[in-house]
Amino acid sequence: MSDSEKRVVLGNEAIARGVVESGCQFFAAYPGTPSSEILPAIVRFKKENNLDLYIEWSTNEKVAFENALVASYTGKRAAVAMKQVGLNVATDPLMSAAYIGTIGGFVIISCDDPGPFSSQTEQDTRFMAMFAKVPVFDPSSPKEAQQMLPIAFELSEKYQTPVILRPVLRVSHAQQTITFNPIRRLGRKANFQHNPQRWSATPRFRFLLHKQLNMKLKKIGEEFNSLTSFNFIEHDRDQAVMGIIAGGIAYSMIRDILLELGLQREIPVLKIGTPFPFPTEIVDAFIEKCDHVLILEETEPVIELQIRDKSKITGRLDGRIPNEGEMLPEVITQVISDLCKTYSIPVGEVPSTVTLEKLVAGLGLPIRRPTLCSGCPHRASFYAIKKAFPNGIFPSDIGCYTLGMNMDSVDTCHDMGAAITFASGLYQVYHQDNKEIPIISTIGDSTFYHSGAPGLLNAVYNGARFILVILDNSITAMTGMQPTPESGMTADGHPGQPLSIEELVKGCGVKYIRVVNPYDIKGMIREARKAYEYTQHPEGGMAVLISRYPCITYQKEILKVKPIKVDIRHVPPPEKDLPPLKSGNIPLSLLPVYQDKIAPCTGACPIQVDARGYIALISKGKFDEALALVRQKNPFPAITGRICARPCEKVCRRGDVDQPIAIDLLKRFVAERKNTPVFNVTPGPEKKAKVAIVGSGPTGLMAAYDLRRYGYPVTLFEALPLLGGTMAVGTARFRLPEDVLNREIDIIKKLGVTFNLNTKIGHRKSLDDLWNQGFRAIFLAIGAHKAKKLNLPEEDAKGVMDSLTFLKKVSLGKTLPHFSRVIVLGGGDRALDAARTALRLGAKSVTVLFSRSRKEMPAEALEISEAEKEGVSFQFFSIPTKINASRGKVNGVSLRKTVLSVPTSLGRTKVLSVQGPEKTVKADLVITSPPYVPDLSPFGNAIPQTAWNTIHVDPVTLGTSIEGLFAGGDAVTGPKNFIEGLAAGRKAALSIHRYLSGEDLRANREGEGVSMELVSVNIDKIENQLRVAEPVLSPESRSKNFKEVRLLPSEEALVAEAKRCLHCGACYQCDTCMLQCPEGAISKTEEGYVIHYEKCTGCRICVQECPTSSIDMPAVGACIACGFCLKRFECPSLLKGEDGRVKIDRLTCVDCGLCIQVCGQEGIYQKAL
Amino acid sequence: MNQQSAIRTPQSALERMNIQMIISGVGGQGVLLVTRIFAAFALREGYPLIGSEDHGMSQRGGSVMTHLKIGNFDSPLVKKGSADLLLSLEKNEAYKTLYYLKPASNGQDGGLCFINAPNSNDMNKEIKKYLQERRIGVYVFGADQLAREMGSVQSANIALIGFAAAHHRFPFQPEKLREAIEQVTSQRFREVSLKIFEKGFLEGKKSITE
Repeated sequence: MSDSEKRVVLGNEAIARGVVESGCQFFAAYPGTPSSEILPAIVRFKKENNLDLYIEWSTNEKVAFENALVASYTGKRAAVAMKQVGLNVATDPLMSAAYIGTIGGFVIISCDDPGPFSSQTEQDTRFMAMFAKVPVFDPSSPKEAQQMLPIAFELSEKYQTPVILRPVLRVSHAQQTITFNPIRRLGRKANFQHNPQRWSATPRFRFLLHKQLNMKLKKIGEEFNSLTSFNFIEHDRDQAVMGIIAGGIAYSMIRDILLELGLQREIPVLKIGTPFPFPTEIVDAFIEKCDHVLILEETEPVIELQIRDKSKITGRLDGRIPNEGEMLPEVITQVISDLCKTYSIPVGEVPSTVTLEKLVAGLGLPIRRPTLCSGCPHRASFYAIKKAFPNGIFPSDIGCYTLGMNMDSVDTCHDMGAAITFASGLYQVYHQDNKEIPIISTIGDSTFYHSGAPGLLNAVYNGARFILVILDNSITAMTGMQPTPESGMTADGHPGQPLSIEELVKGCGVKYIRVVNPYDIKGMIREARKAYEYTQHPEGGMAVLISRYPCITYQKEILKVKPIKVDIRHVPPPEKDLPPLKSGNIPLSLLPVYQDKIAPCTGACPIQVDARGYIALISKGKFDEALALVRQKNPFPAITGRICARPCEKVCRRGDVDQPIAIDLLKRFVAERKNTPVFNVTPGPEKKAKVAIVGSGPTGLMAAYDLRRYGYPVTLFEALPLLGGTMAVGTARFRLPEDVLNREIDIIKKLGVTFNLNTKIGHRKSLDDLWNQGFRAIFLAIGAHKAKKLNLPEEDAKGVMDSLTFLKKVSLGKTLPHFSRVIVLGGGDRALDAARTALRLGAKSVTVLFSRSRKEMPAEALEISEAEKEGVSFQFFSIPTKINASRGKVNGVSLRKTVLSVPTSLGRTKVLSVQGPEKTVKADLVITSPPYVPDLSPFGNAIPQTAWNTIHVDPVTLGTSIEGLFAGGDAVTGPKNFIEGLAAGRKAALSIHRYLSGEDLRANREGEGVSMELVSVNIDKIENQLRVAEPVLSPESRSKNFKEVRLLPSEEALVAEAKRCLHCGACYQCDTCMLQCPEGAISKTEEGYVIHYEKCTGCRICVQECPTSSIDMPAVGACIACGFCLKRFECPSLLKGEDGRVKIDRLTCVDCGLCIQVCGQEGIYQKAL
Repeated sequence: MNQQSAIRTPQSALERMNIQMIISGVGGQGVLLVTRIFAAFALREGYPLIGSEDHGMSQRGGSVMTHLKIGNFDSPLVKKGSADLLLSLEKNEAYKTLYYLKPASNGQDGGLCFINAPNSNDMNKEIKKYLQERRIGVYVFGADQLAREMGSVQSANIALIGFAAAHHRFPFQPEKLREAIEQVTSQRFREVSLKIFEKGFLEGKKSITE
């Protein structure tokens, strides 16, 4: 670009041009509207012209000011630029600089913002100049600003004083054709002259400096009187009815207005370009010649106040000119017109636009308020913050993110850095009253560097606790994308050092720092809640979240890494039946319903015991009621509380937080309290049809219980001399004591069931015998007690025995061969029972061999560790290759190490092969864990069998192909656990009842058994609290006896345990729905909540937020015009269509996909690309 | 002090052109590009120019408006009721800026406005009447649609300029505007922009019957 060329430039570029044309060698600035474009333009001129000019974006205005000021001390010309409120930050050095002065020219460019358009105040820098006693230039146009700068530098150097240039927004942001003048290259070298009396003056010298300053100002004022290039009279005359004194931009405006009104020759104008020190002489002379004088200046009456004789003056002081807001040409035109009429100066009519403005106002057009850009990460942060803390206080700061107020997530915006100091002040003032309120402060990265750290240091030092969210978009976005210290990029590309926000925060003494990605809204909500927990924790303190995602307007490319396309599904079809915006006309099926649901624990229970229900009763101390609730479904709570496999705990949602609820212990506790009410269960009305049950295990007993309750006479046949099946003979006594078992079996006895012990059906008594005895239905619940072969050499040797046989012999008091070294093969509960029983019976050593790792053992972890404590040893990754025997008697086991497969997705491994040398372990008793099948041999071909040697039944009814013959439990399924046995018994009883009453066996049986539809609750807000510790009998007290090992925790501990329950699917009145509803459509009554459908929009937020999933609503999967996204997410690319439904503004949408995360109805979705 | 040098007379009326205009729309529609095209025009033709554009917070999704004065002017702001031209890229923003237009006076016609909107018939009747009475010409043109059809959704602004250029009272010669567009648009969009300008111009010729 050559010099002396005409260009259309922005005012700030004209200012930049003026700076370089003045030979400035040092320039510093902090961005702020309307000053931000000055520095980049200077960088451009520097690069285009290869100038010797140091340029920096400083971290704040004070810093910029001081850097540039001291540069001027060395003799170079220096300048600093900022917005008017930036000068407030730099006021401290400004005040002193006036006294001490400069050597090289030093110009402060402070851009005013009358209006204001993007500032906190409309303050007038000219007042700051007066206050600090610094000369000030007030340009009327970009062109004049350019011309003023060389004069300002000259003046500064001549009087060794700083000089201010004060452009208003309409100068900074005007566009004008200007001529580029040649650039001065002063080439001065830094030369700091030691002069402590001046540079570090003491108060005594300050007094002298003040005196010197006053003398300087007097001289400058005199000089300004004759500075005719900036202070001059237009159409001067000896006498005028009316004259105008216009400062700065007001001069340009009045010039156009007078021209348009044809008054330019009637009304002389004194233009003032240097309002301080005041050019009194020229002003007084002008006033002298006029009868009346109107003063026009932006923004405060600076000129007006300096005029001593105000008798002829009208302006702001008498209210003629509005004292707030920008001066507008239409307002000033009206003022001139009115004054002309008053003073009888002929003037034409000014056309009024009021009628048209009223007509337009009547249209009620939407106001386009400033809003965060589409895809802005701040929007996501604010949404998450508000979601996490609907009742928080949100101090914020100055930047784009101030617009978070549109989302109700910004409560205060004061001055740079006040987000942090306001938050700490708020914390302290509430803390004083012993009240803790979530305080979430938000500040941008650039603002944090500007003046956040001192406030944070103070907060940490004084013990404040709040959450500070640093919105780090890695740029100063608001003012036009200036780099921040984090980037290490400098204004003109000179080498800089990247800084880390984390390190700075850490350096301020903050211990809790988390970097979060606001584009993961749920994740951010979680982190925000965790941070709050930290602030509430006794050992906690200040928590800082750095919400880091690049400014999307600056770095749109980031969305192209994994591009998506956002779209909206509409329902019903757009052509007809559009749902209106507010509900009421929305079909009820689309509205939320407040209703309890089946909890996962109940759903997973094969017999659907209402675990959530009795846990809630226990938590309230209602133990008897809890027991009654258990017994409604399960007559054996004490047994179940010990040996149930607890599918309920496997699906317990608490397990997703920390550990599942100890449902087993709670059940056992209520069943075993002293003086529990007697279980007053009575048989149903007596029926005639007799039923025979074969087998008294869990399945048989449960069937007997239910059938008696239906009223059928039941006879139970048991092959063994005692009742209970595997409960009695396949479970170690120290896990299920005999008295507990018998006490609950007594309930069956009380119901009037006839027992025939030692009666094996199929031997002396066949099924035909039973039919002949008049039984109308027979239920086979014979279990699976027959061990299959392992196909190991010598497995038939003496001293080799399967675990069930071993335990059975012990239970029945049968004699066992002598043993002292025992090897147990397998890792199930029963294998461990056998191992521990063997130890109790006097074995010297018991070793369990298991083919895989400890973690993969099917037995419960507690049982394994207790077995270990008792003295059982374990060898993992070991597999027997053969059993060794001599003369038909076992003497050991040979084993090898296993090679395992890679775990499957479920974490299971398979034994692939064996490796290493064969080892031999000595033993005189080997207990095996073979597969078990029912022993069907006594029945011959009388019953249908499967290929797996189990009884073949219809899985829905448990009926066999033989009329009246039913079968269930392990005999049908192979070995399963206790609770499934109970479920099979219950199922068979129902079938038999229907069979005997002539009903359809298969009707309505879908609801039986395990429910797979598990209600999912919100666990985001749950604090960790571990499961109750389970006390056990000390290992010493267990030796050589069968006392029960697992004991119950205290009542207090168990009540606390019950309180850990998340109440899945059952409302516990936490008020979350009420607080989160954006429409205020939910109110509370004694029974729970009421949803007022006339207010509800169907946004589904209550459904999403309910911690127990007690509010239900089908996700429509389409936009139902609830308006939630428009109201709460407030993205400019989401528009309300004419029909009330949401549409995407394709012109501005950046396909960030954030709205997809926000829409509760899944109406906004990710379209396939 | 020297009285003589303190006196300034207005520049002689050598200007052939004194045009005040308003360009309005919504952030993202390219209001600033329109401004730059007219600025380039003024510079190429040697007319002085002053104007003012919105910056700062109004940039983010809100209303955007620029004032542009070509000729003998000093102040960057257009006074209400003084604009010769209004180019509006969005219907509602057009309504909000209509009052800048100059009503007819002293036998001179009122200002002209060109609005990008899909349907010319849905303009408020009372307002239409008001404008007609003051001889303010209103022309609605579906610039978005044309730009979309031509494969460059964001070039509705250029289409609207082309359309307006077809009006016999539009003060800028189409050929000169074409050169300004060529100068201002980036290489990537230059060809399509010129095509859209031409197409808009043809549409204007067809539908502006005044």
